[in-house]
Amino acid sequence: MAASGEPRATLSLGQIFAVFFKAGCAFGGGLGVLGLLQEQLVTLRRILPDKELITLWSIGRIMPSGTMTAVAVAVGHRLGGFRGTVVALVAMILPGFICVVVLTIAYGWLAHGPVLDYIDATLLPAALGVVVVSAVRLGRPIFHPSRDLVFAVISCVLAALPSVSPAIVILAGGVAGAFLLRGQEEPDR
Amino acid sequence: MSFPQLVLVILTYNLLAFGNGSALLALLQHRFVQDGVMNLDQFLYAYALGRVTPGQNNLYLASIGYMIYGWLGACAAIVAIQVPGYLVLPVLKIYQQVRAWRSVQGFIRGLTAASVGLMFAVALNIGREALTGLVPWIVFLATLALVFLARRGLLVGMVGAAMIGLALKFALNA
Repeated sequence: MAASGEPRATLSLGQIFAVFFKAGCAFGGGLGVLGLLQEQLVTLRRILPDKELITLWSIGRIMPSGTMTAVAVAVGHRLGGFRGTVVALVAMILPGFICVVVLTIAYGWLAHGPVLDYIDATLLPAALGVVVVSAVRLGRPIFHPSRDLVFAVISCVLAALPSVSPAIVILAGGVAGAFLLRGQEEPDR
Repeated sequence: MSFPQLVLVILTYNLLAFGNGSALLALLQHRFVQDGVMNLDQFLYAYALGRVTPGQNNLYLASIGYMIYGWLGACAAIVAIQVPGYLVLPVLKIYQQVRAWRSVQGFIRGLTAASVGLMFAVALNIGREALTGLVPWIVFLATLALVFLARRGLLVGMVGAAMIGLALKFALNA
């Protein structure tokens, strides 16, 4: 989503694979993957601004697909064209896919044993840590008194309600923003 | 259920759920369990795998695909949930054309602010499920300490904290 005329960062397909494979190793679902992606692309390689990544994630949330799937396609396309999208998707999926299939093959042994309980008590809270880090890092630009912060707090409360769809919350945030945030000074990112 | 039916069900339900994991789960449970394609134990096991394995949560569909059609089913399920992601490309193309409009800038700002709120809501929901005892709390805080205080990478922080938790769990059960 670089502005037209702005130089666009590219990565080799091997580099795209490496970045997304590492991201795909994160626990904590899509937000864990996003955290690793932010670390790789924004903090370490500096080829994508924070603002662009969170905008892509926000757009991904309102797409009729998995959010991180849309993000991988968008970032992969930005960094390596169509082939970049395929490499990004394959690399991001591979670690989880292999684990899921291997554990499915082991269904007979694992289904009623303690292994999943151990994973629940150790990896799940660690993944929660990754999700919190990811939220803090990506949300940092709006953590000061502003309408953006009010939007974030309201969305957090609404999204925590079990009966409200997250896609609707985000879409409502966008529609309200079109009226209430247009022309407002944007927080520094 | 025939192979094309499996692919079609996953593809259409994924689109219908609009990225809402709970809605997708409900639709799939209705189609696969109530129609007798798999039993509830298998379905719940597959879903649990999505939570305890790396990557996106919806990768549990690979497990469902594998249970029904082996490797072919697992691969087809994964392809079926990834393909709709390409819809983002035309959307971004349109966004490029209108991004200078003030109302579009406001829309994206509202979208982004709401997304940040959603991230914390997700963290709260996971926290309610995950932080159920002393060991999970120690693992969670250790992850934050390793990343923020010891300045380790996220993967190192996560794996390191999980190892601490595993050691504690073994010690407490011994």
